[in-house]
Order: sequence, then structure tokens, then C-alpha cells
Amino acid sequence: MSKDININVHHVARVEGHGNIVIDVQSGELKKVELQIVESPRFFEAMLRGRRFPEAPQITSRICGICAVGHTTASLRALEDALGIEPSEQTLLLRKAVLEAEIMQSHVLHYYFLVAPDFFSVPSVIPLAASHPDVVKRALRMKKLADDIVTIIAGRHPHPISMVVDGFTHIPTEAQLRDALKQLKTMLSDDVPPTLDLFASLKFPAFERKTDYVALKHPDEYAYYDGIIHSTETGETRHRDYKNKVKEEVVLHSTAKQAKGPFRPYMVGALSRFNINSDQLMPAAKAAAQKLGLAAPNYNPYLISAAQVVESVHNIERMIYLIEELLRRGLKDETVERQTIAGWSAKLPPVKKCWGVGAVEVPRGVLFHEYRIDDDGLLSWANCVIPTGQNLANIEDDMRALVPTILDRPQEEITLLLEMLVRAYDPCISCSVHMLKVDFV
Amino acid sequence: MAKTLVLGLGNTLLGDDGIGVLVLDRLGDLGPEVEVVNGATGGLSLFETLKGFPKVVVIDAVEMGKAPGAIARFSAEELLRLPVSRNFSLHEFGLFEVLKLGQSLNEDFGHVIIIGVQPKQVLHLESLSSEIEAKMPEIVEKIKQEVNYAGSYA
Repeated sequence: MSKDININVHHVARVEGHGNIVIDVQSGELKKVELQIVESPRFFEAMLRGRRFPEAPQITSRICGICAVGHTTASLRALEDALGIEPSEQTLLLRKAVLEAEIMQSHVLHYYFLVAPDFFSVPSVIPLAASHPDVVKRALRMKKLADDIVTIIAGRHPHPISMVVDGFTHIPTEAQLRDALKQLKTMLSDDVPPTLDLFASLKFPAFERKTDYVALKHPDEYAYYDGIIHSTETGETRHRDYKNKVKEEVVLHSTAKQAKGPFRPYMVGALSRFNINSDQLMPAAKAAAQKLGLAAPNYNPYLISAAQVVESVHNIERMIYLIEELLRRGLKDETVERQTIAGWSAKLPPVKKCWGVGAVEVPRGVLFHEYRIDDDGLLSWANCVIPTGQNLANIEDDMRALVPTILDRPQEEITLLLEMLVRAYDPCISCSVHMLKVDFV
Repeated sequence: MAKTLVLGLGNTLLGDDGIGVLVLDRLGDLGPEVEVVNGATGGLSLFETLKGFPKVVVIDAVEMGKAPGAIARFSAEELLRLPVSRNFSLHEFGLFEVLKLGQSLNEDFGHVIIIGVQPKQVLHLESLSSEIEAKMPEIVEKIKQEVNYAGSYA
């Protein structure tokens, strides 16, 4: 078919930050596909150089206002990897619980506030609130509970203050945890079923492209906090060898670096995790996947949103499990026995020159922080590889595969399908910059 | 629970945009019935912040096309009547969207009054311009008047 299409979506809506989609089709031939990132660069890695190592989690938490706990966790894990510190069991339980809470709030925000309006044919959540107030109220309720759990554990939402090297400067009370537990159980019984009914009724666009799916994998649990880097195409990579799997590259059309595999782009995030680890989901999450018709492996990127719904159910169940475990063990003020190393106030312990890597699953995929620490305790070098940066090249490959199959559709429909595709990845452009408007030129 | 919320909004790293936050430190003790909150650059989270207060006084830098330091007082109803069209994203989810969402959901936000200050410059700067700094006592006075106003808004 000889057809010319020029799509130029300037600032794609309902994504975090600014990005453009540019598609150029001449005489039915696809000439250009670009996902342009137009946010200004942030230079966090340069900011870290010369800072005292305990400051890194607090500085890097500011990379993102949505997954600040994720950055904090990756930062702490990189430092502890470098220094050979093994935090206590209680610290691990609290860190895992707060990470589950953050992933849940981010997913709820994305599938209810940013994705759902597409299916109701409304431009945003505000008209949705007028037509479906029960839906929006439920979404706000779910997000609030997750935010509140971040607040009681991390001391503040979204940017944690109590999470430091080797522990917490402040821990929640058992009464706070019991209250959260009660609310989580109510949410699982009252708010999860209507959420599943809603998303099971939505018709996601049909499109499949098998790619390389990458996520952490752990023998004991559905991996978020810890695991080995698993690729469905290239097998396993240890966290310290992440650069064997992740090659960062500067592209002219984007202020964000693109991170790809050594041979080809790959996907990270909820669908990758689901494809790799779905047998480790908690029971209600498994039932949720069944209800949504999602089975691993699934090659439709539009269903990343469905995988997020499934994961949010898992997040609730895991928080229930982790909090019950904390309560069963009884909370201890561990800072009495072992001083945590807290930010700006820290008296630096003697350190040897060392380096470490933290690899953690955050809402949009696997996140890497890598630091080098000098013998004076100052950071001499840092590298942060953000999930959206890892997905950008894969999104462009999806668009290259998708556009030729939908050329017969009206331009408005092509544009909408492309925007929905980009939104499905839940790109967090300001963090990776570095995202969305569609330019059909 | 306090009866009145004083909510300062803005980014203190962006020059005069920080006025809503910086003025909070000059308010002194407003008594037990008043809660003062630094809303900073909060978006959707403000939805939860606004809940449950019969009266809310918001201070924010507002581009009104007036002389730097000009102060305007308007209600949430007046703000919501303004025609606004812009791309929706969380980075642009601000007070307007929160109030609009509250209106759509019939959320009772009490009476929201906005004290808007015309900025001179909004750029990467950690200080206020002298014109805005000079208006600080007047802005404090306006906030106190609003907090102490006991009459009916009807």
C-alpha cells in the first residue's frame, strides 16, 4: 500500500515527563520511528562524586518522586554490597514491605489514573471522576493506603528519611503496623474484586512481539528486593556483572541514554517480571491473572498494565505476609545494638577503597546503582541505570513492528494506539533523563 | 483536628515560585486551631491534605500578568471557573486539578481561599527578588486576616 503518514505527537499526555513520538511513513514504507526524550538531563551521577557515601541514598531518592523508595533501596544495597554489610532480618522485612507499598502505589496510579481514561474515551481522570466517581474513589483509597504504609515505615512519602545504611533510624510502632494490616485485609476483600472486574472488562489492543524479557529472579520469592539478573534470551547474570547485559548508549534524538542488551533491546517491568516469575505470585494474585486472562509468557506490551494490576494484588498479599511476620517476631529497636549510618550526620567508619552494585526491581523494572568509594569514605564515581532508559529502545522496536500492521487505520487511531503503547510502559521520563509527545512528521 | 489549614505551595529552588513556602516561616504561632503545611510541589497528594478542614488558605505564586508582588485573593470556585486546557500528567497535576477532582467527587474541601502573589522571576535561584521580599509583611497580614475571619463566606 502506498501511503504517507506523518505523525508528530508533541508531549505525549499521561506519562511522567516530556517525550515525543515521531513516525514518518513514505509511500507505505516506514522511514523513521523515534521516541524522543526532551527533558533536560539531571546529572545525578556527577552530583554524587565527592559526597560522603551515607548521603547517596538521600540524594538519589530525589531522582524520582514516584519511586523514591526504589532509588533509596538500590542505593543502600549498592553501598552495603561495597562495604560488605549484611543488614538484620528485621531491616530486610521492613525494606521489603516498604518496597511492596511503593510498587503498589505506583501501579495503582498508573493503571487507574493514566491508563484507564483511554478505555473510557476521556482525556484524563478528572472527567472520569465525574462519570465514574466510585472508580476514582477506589483508586484514591488504594493509593492512600500504600502511601500511608510508606510514611509509617520510611518516615515520609514519597522521599524516605528513616532508611539508612545498615538499618532504620526510626521504626513503626506495632499499633501502626496492626492498623495497616487491618486496612490491607479490608482492601483485599473489598477493593480488589471490583478492580479486577473493571480491568477484566477492558479490551486491550491486540499486538504481539516477542522480545527479551529481563527481571531479577530469586529462589525464595517473587523478586523485587534481591535476585540474579534473568533474561529469557541470554540466561543469568550476577548483579555485579550487570554491564555484561546492559549497554548504555547515547542517541541523538533523546536526552536520555538508551540501555540495551549487547545484541538487542529488551523489556523490563511488570510484564517481564510476570513472564519470568509468575509461578511465585501469591495466591490471590495468581487468581487475578487468571481472571484477567493473563498467562506467562505473554508477548503483548499493552498488557503491561494488566500485569501491574496482578502485581498490585501480590503487593497487598506480600505486605500482609511481611507485616504479620514482623509482628510475630516483635519489633526491636536495633539502633541500640548497632548504629545505623545515617546521611549527613554520620561519623564515617574507616573504609577501604571499594565498589558495589545494587540491583532492585522498582515499579517500571530493574534499577541499578553502582558506586565506587574511596578510602576517605567519599564517592569517587557513580552510575545509575533507570528502567525507562532500558525500555526506550524496546518501545521503538515495538512501534517499528506495530506501525506497518495498522497503516490502513485512520491517522487519529494510529496515533492513539502509539500513545497507548508508550503509556503501557509507564515511562518515567524525568527520571530516565530524560519523555512523551507523538510527532508523526 | 485543627479547623483551618494554611497551605504554602511552590518550589524554593525556582526563585519567586518559592514565596508560598517561604512565607510560612514568617507566620509565627497562629494558635492550636490552625495547621500550617508546606505543600511544596505536591500534586495529587494535596487531595488528601485538603480533606477535613472547614477552611483552607492557600498561598502560591500565580502568574496574573500584574506588577511583581501584586497580591490577589480568590476562592476555589472562582479558580475553577477559569478556562484551563493543558496536557494531563502528574508533573502538571497541581492545585487546580486537585480542586477540580474534589469538585467532581463531591469531596467537601470546606472553603478554599487562594492568596496569589505575582512573581517577578521564576528561574533556578534560591532567593526571592527584592520586590517580592518587600511584600512579605503584607502577605503575612493577608494570611492572618483570612485565618481570623470569622464571618460567613456565603
